[in-house]
Amino acid sequence: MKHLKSINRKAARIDRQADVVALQQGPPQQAPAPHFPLGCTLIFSPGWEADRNGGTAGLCTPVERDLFDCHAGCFWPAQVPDQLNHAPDWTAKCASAQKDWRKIDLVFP
Amino acid sequence: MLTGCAISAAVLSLSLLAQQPPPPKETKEPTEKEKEEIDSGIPIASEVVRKACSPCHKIDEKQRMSRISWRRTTPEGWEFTIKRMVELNGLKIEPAEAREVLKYLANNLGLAPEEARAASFEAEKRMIDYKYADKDTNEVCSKCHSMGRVISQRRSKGEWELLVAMHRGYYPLSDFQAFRRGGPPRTEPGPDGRPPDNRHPMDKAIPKLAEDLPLKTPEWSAWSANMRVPKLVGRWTFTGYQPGKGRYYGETVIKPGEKEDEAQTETRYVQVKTGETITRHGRALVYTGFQWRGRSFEGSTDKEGWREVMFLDRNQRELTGRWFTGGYEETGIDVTMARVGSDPMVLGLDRAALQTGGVRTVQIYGANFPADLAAGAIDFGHGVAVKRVVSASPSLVKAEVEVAKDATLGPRDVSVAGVVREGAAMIYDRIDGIKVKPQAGMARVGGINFPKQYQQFEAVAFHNGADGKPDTKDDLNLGPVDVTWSIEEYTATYDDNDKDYVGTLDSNGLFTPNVDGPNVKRRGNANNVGDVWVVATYKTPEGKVLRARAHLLVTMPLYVKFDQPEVSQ
Amino acid sequence: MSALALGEFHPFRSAGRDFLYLVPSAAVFELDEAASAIVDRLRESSTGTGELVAELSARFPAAELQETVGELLRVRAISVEGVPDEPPPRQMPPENFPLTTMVLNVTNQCNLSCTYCYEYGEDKIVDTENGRKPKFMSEQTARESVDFMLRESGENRMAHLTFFGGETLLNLPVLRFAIAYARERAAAMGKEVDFSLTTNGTLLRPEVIDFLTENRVGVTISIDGPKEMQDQFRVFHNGTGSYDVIAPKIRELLRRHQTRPIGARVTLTSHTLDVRKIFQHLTEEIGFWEVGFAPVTTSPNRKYAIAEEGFDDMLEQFRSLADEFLEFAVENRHHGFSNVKDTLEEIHKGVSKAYPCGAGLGLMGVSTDGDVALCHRFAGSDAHKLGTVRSGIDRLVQIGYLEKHHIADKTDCSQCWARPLCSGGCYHEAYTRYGETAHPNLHYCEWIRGWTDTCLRIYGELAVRNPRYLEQFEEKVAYEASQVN
Repeated sequence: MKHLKSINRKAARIDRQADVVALQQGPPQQAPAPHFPLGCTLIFSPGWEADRNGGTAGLCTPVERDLFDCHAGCFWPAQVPDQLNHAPDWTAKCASAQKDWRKIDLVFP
Repeated sequence: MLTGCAISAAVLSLSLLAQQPPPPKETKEPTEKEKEEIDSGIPIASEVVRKACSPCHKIDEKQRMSRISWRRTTPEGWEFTIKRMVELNGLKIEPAEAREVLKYLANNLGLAPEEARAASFEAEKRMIDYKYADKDTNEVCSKCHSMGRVISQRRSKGEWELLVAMHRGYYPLSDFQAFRRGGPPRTEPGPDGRPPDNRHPMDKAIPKLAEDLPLKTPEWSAWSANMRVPKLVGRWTFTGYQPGKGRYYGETVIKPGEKEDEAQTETRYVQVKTGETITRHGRALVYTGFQWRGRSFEGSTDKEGWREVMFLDRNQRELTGRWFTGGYEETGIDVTMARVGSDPMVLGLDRAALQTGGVRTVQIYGANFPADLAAGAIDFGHGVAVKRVVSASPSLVKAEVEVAKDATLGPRDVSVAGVVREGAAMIYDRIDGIKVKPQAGMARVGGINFPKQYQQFEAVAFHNGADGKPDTKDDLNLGPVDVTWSIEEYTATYDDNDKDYVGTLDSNGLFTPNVDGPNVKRRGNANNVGDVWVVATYKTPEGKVLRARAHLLVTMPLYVKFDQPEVSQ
Repeated sequence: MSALALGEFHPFRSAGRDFLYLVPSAAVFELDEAASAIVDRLRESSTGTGELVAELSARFPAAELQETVGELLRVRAISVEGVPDEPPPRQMPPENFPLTTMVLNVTNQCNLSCTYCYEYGEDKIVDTENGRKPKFMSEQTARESVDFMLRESGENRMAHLTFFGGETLLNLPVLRFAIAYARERAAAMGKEVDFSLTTNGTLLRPEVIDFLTENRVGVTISIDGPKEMQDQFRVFHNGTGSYDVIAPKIRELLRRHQTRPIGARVTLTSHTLDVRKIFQHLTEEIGFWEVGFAPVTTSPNRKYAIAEEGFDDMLEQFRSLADEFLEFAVENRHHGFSNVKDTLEEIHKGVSKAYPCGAGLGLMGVSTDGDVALCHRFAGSDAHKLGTVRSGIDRLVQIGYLEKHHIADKTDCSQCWARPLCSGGCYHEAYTRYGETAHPNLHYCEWIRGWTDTCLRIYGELAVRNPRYLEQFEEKVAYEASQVN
C-alpha cells in the first residue's frame, strides 16, 4: 500500500492480507440489532419499541412519564393517540400519568 | 423523549417558517400523462358506494369518484379509510351499509393475487422483517408504521401525492420526522457536474411509489377480468402448525353461507402432541375472489374466537394463511387447507424426524387412505423398512418402521398408496445442536390497562449435515425438542436486573410479560420493560448438554391500535 | 454509488503524523496526507467517492485519491454506507486450551494485614479465617498441582509456575519442594518450568535470597512506596508499618539476586496516589528494575477507593511518567515504568482480546487444597471453581464460563474503541465492584481510554523516532507471567 503505512504487526499482516481473521472481524463488533417489524419505529432515537441497539436501555422509561408529550406533540402517531385529531381528550381523566395511568384508554381509530 | 419532543417542536416551527408559500394555482390544460392518469380511474357502479361517499367525493361524467377511483387496496386498507372518514370527516354510515361499501371497494378496487401476496404478512399479522427495496421510501414510511400498509396499496401518482399531503395535514410532525430533509441543502455539484439531489425524502418516495405501486397494472387487468366468486363448498384437509403446540391435522367442512361469497365452516383437528381434538365453527367471506377473511369459535363459551386470514390459490384447491388471536394477534396457527377429492392425500407425520437404528410406530395423517392398506404401499425410501401397518383409517395410518443404522441421512419423501408428500420425514443419527426460535422475540407488558403481548419460543434441534459444520445450508432441521427454559440478564444497562422484572417463562417456552405501569420496586419507578436472553438447555440422550439462546425484548404497549377486525364480519 | 462512511477506529497524532488504531483488528496504520484528508472529510459527514474526490481534487490528484480510498476500504478504516458488515464470528478459544501459567496459592496466611487486601481485607471473597480451606498447602497438593500443570500444558514446552499467597515465604518448605519436584518432572517430560513469586518482603532472609537466586525465581515485591505511603495500609497485625522491616531486606535482595530482574508492584489508593514520587523512590532510592502500578480493587464505598477525580489525577501522573519513559526509550535507555512497556507490547503485537486476561483459559489459580479457580484472586471460592488438580478441569464449567465472558457479549463495550486491549477489564475487580464477573468495569472506562490513548501516542512517537526500540517485542514469548497482580 502506498498511502497507509503499516506500523504494528497486525497492520503488517493485514497489509499482506495474510490475516484473514483480522479482516473477517471487520468493523462494528456490535451484533446487528434485532429488527422488529410491523409498525415498529426503530429509526427515531429512541424508537417506540426498541432503542437504536434493539434493546430497551435507551428508551425513555417509564413511558407513562412521557405519554403527554407524545400525545400532545403527535410524536408517535402510530403508537400513541394524537391529540390533534383522533383523540383530543385522551388524557383528560389523567392529571398525572405517573399516578393516573390506569385511566388511559386504548384507542381504536 | 422529553428532549426529543422539545427539540423536534423547535425544529418544526423553524421548518414551517422556512417553508415556501405555495405557488399560485394556475389553470392550464392537463398534459398527456395527466390525461392518461385521469383516464385510468376506475368507475364506481355501486349505488350504495355512490350514495355513501358522494356528499364529499365528486362523481364525474365517467362515473369515477374523486380520490376513490384512483386507488386500489386490500379489504383492510379500505376498512381503514372508511373508519377514518367516520372518525375525522363526519361520515355517518350504518354498519350494514359500511360492510356493503367495503365489499364493493375490495372486490372492484382491490389487489390481484400477485399484488396481494407480497403484503400478506400485514393482513396475517405476522412479525416478519420486511424491508422495501428503495431505501428512501422505506425510511419515509417505516419511521412511523409498517411497510405492509404501503405495499398493500396501489395508487395513481396524484393519489400518492395526496396521501402524503393527508399525512402532513393530520400528523404535522411527520413532516419533520420523516418527509423532509434535515440540514441545509448541499450546494456543491456532484462528480458528474450536475447539481446535487436536494429533494426531500418524500419527493423521492412519491415518484418511486407511483412507479412501483401504480394504479394500473397488467396483473389487476387480468385478475379483474377473470375474477369470480369461488366455489369452496366441500371437504378440505386441515394442516396446521402452532409454535409451542406443534402439529395439527384434521378436516374442514365448508358449507354455503347466507350470501354467495360467504361460507360456514366446521373444522375438527387433532393436536398431535397431546391427542386432543378441537372443533371450531366459523364463518367467512371471500374478497376479490381469493382473500379469505373469517372468524371461528371453539364452543359456545368462546366469545372472541380466532380470526382467519387465508389466500386461495388460482386453481381453488388450496387455502394458506394464518389463524390468530391475542391482544396483538401474536398467537396463531399457520394453516394449509387442501380440497379433498377422491384420491388419497398425505398431509404429514406425527413428528419431524426419525433417528437411525430401532423400530418405532409412526403416524401418517392424510385423507382417503384405503381401508386395506398394506405395508408395501407405504414407502420412506432406502434404509427405512415399513414392517407392518398397525392400524389404518381413511385419515390416519399407524405403521411400524425400522430405520437402518446406516440409513442415508436427510429429508425423505413419504408415499402412501401411490401419493407422495415431499420431505415429510427427516432421517438423522444424532442431535448436534439446538436453536431457539424466534431469534429475536418481542413481548409487551400489559394486563392492567392494556393487553399483554406474549411470546412463544421453541427450541429446534439440528444435525450439522454432510459438511459436519453448524449454521450451513445443509443442516438438517429435526423439529422442536423439549428443553429446559431459563431467562438470563442481557447486560445493556448496569444493574437494571431486567430478568427479575420483565416476566416469566414457563416450561413450554411461553413468555408471559409482567404488568404494565410503573413499578415502585424498580429504580426510578421504571416500568417492567427490559431485554433479556431466553436460554434453552437440552440434554441429548448421550448426555451432551446443548445450549442456545435468543434475545427477547419486553417493551411498551401500543396505546393506539389500527386494526380492522370487522372485515370478517 | 453508495456513500463512504468512517469505520471504527481511534485516530491519534504522534511526531506530527496521523495514525489510526483500527477496531477490532487492533492494527496501527500511519496515514499520508491524502489519507488524512479523506478521513478528516469523512468525519464531517458521509459522502460518495465521486464527491469526495471532487472536493479534494484541488489538493491531490484524483487517481491518488481513488487509490487511497481503496486502501482505506481494504483495511476497513472506512466502509461503504449501508453495506452491513458481516457480524464478526464469535470466535471461541479452541477446546482444551493449554495451560500456560499456574498460580499456586501456597498459603492464605499472611504476616501483614493490609487493609485493602483482597485475600484478607474488607472485600475478601474467600473466608481465609474460618473457612474450611487449609491455611497451608501440603506437599501432596503441591505435587498434584505440578502434575496437573504439566498435564494441562499440552504441547507447550514451557510452563510458568507462580507462587502466590497469603505471604508465599510463610510456606517456604512447600515452595522449595514444588520447585524441585517441578524441575524433576518437567525434565522427565522434556519441558521447562519458569518460576516466579510475589512476596511482601518481610521474610527475605539471606538464605532465602540465595535460594531464589540459585533457582532463578523471578521476584515481585508488593510495596506501596516510601515509608509514609507503605505504612498507611501495609501494616503488621498490631498496626505497625512494615517499611522499616522490608527496606533493608529488599536492598539486600536487589544486591544479591542478579539472575532475574526484580519488580515492584504498587497498589494505588486514594491516599497514596503520588505516582511520580513512588516511582522515583522505588527505582532511584531502592533500586527496582521495574515498577508496576495497579489501582486498588475494592468496593466503591471504602475510604481508600479511588474516586472518579482520583482516576483523572492518576492518569495525569501516569502520562507524565510515560512521557519520561518515551524520552528514555528514544535514547534506548531502560526505564522501569512497566505499565507502559506492557501496553506497548500489546499494541505492537496487535492484540485484540476476546477476554481481558488469560484467567480460566491459559492461566488458572490453585487454592491451598488443590481447587482450581479462574485465577489466583478467586482461588478457594467455590463459586468460581473450575475443577481440582486431582480431577482436572471441568470442561463444561470452563466452556460455560468462557461463553459468558466473551467480549462479543459485553454490550457496554461494543462501541468502545479500547475494547481490543481492555475487553472489559479484570473479573475480580468486576466481581468486587458489581457482584458479577462478566460485568465490564464501567467505573474506569475513561481512565482506560485515556491510558490507551497515551500509550498509542507513545507507540506512534517510537515508531517514527526510534522504530528499532519496538523490535524487542518481536521475540518475546506470547505471555510473560512473571508478574501477577
